[in-house]
Amino acid sequence: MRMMKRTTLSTIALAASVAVVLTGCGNDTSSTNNAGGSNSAVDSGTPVDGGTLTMADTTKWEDMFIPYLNNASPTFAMWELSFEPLMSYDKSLNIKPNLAQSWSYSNGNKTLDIKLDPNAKWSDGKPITSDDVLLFMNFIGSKVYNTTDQGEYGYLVQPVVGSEKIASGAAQSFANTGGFKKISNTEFQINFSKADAAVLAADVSSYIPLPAHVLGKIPFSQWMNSDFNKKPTVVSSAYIPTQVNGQSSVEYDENDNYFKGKPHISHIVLKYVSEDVLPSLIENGQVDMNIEGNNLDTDSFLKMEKDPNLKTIAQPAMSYGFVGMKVNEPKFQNVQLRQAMEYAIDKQAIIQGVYKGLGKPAYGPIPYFDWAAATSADGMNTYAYNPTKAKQLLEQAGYTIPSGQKWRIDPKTGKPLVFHLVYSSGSPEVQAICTAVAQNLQAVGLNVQLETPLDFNVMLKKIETNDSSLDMFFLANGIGTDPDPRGSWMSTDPGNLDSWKDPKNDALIDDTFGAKAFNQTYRKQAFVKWQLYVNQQVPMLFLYDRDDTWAYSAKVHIPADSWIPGGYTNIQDWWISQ
Amino acid sequence: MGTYILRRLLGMIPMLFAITVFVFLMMHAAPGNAIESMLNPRIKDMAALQAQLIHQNGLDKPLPVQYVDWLGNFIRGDWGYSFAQGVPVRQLVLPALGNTLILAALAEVFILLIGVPLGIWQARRPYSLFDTSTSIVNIILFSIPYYIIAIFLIYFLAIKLHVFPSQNAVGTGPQAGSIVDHLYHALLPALSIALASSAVYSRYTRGSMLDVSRRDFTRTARAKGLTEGVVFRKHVFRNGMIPIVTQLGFDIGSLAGGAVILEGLFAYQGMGYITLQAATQRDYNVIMATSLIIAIGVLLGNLIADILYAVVDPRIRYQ
Repeated sequence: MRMMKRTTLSTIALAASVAVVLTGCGNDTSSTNNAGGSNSAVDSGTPVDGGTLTMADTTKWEDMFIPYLNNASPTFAMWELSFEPLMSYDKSLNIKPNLAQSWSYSNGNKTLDIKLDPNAKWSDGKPITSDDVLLFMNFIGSKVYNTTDQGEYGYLVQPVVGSEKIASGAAQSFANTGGFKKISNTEFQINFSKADAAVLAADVSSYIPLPAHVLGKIPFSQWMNSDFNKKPTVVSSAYIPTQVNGQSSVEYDENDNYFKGKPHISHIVLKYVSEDVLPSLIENGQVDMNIEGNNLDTDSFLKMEKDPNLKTIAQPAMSYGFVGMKVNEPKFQNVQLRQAMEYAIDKQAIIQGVYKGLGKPAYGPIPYFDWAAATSADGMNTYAYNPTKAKQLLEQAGYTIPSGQKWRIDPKTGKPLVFHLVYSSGSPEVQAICTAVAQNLQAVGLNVQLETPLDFNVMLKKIETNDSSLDMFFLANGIGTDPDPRGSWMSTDPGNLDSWKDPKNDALIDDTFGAKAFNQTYRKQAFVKWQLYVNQQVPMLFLYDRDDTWAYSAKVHIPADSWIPGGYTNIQDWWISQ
Repeated sequence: MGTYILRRLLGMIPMLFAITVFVFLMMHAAPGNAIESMLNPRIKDMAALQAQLIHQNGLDKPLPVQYVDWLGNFIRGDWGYSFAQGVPVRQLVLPALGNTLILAALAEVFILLIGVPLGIWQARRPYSLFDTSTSIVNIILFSIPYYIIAIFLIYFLAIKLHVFPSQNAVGTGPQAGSIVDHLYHALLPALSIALASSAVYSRYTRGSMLDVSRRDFTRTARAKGLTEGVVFRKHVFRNGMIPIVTQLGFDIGSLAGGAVILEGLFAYQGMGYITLQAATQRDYNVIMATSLIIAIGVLLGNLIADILYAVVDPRIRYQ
């Protein structure tokens, strides 16, 4: 079920103080429980069929079921229960077969041959075929999707031959552009304009076959307002929506024809609830669990860990927090300064103080759980908190403190250095993190001034326009299911907010998706080399890889292998004690 | 009266025009927009996509042209597209408006049913134990922000006692979306608004009734030998309701805009939440639509108040 998520730059979700008020009102019997630990979920026993699972989403979705038609992430949670991607992922984000049973490259890695699971069926019993994949590709690449519908996911088919013609409306089907070739009902080929090792996991894995025998009869221009979009009658995943109650809730029934087996849980209710009330609703049993992407506030989570009626689990999130720097500015160009800053920040204390230990210090652009992550064994410097070392580096580089002064000077200009750190308004957690970062850097003599928090859009505009009122900024960076750094790390990438322009970095990234990178071992090494370079250059201050948190009713049984970074999978294997 | 109402309705047009121009300029004066805020690093050429979307939505045109385009489309029923939510604005706003109107209507009913009778009762027995004790309760309720009242109502009535639903504008099951279901889900948020507001109404009513009951014409009515009930119904009540009608007019307008914090707490899909969300995301089309609707609500609220003046006070006649 789990598939590609939007990778975004964002601030941390607001942690409303009223949540504390509500959870503070809960009953106190939890103190007798010893479940404890950040992963208290232990599931055993024989699965039984039946029951209703009520899941809560704290962000409002749009009731649009056609995958990717709505760009908002909360909407994904709604249709992910009903539509299945070609491939899925394991705990290390390695790609796994799903609807696609196997695949292989040919034609100099420019052709991908995919075989579908012959047992895969739509909920109406009809087989899922190559035509269903083609329909998805034609829609997601179409002019209607990319203009009228203002879809954001047209990039999924951009590497395919003929995507420009499809996008402009000059062609209607990849089957006519040479981008798609149907071999049989369960086998097809996708032809790419050039060989790119990232395309499989970053793009193709997220293709979601759409029922050609139902939607194929409706023009793309009518999909947005179609009945199918409001409540699909045919689905490929575990649950069929039976009732859509506006944006308040969606009710689902099990899909008897699900190719991974009939789900144990008969019904699912997905409800939109207030994040302030969610902890109380879970404690009270009115909601069974929070869905992925809807973290519980840390205090509530820690309290729920002790509740005998609940199970809790913390899983690594698909994002990391960092302090960006305008590294193209003269004041940041000395690498020793940037390294000293990384040493000066007590990341563990920040994680402990703000997230109560639910996370790990970060020191590179690929999180520790990813198959491509480089570790200290590979030569990564963890930049463990060491203010003495930070001061030494600064002194060596000439960032001295003049006698009788408090702050260090710029060795190039001889003038006092001042750094302006900004962050977006609305989150006490972000404020606490930035305050700690500023204090840590001030403690080694760097005059970091914490500026008034800004509206997120305003801050972003200031970063993008290289506004002189800021030098450093706090953001959280979402990661994709493929570690492909393009989009945020190449010199010309719009997501490269640090404006780090480094030809060597670009060359190292090129090597992660070039011809040799189709060999997974080679690709891993290419990623390691890139991470070592980033780790040494410190173009941003990596702070933490935090955890996402879930709490769910003790009557719900979720096998351990269902949990993956950022979420869960295999919902058909879950069951509820009667 | 008909001419008066028509004149007032026509008079709303320039006011609405001025409001939309003001909101339009204010929103565009703030840095950034929803399209420029798209930051999905997986999109290979984000700059090109942003440029395409900006052009497609006419955001690269001069501001006056953008405004005229928006106004023309709006009048024709095309409210545009929400950049941030990825749906047509009508699809986003109309269900929220419906929910808000239900909540506002129910809240007003509660306010009037609690506040006005209480104020009358207090005024008829001023400085009695009942008057003093209910006045103290009123002041306490008025002093507590409505969202704090909401938290307690959720905790006791929804979470502990399971009497009312605490979340959403509609429930689940076969009855979901029915008017009964809507009202049932609006009960707690409406009560949260009403408890604090009814305190205001009861104070206004009490003060106004006491004031009118001491006027010369009331004394004259009593001197003529009319019963206390007739004096109250024909003289005190109708004259005493004038300030209440004024307040009601204001309330109708303000409730049309939704209640941001309350909607958040109750996960109630109303106008307040989408307006706040759109403002933070610079979602221009949504902001323009909600601003216009809220402005219409405020102006209509004032009009209703003026009409009700004539109903409660026969001396008032509009030409």
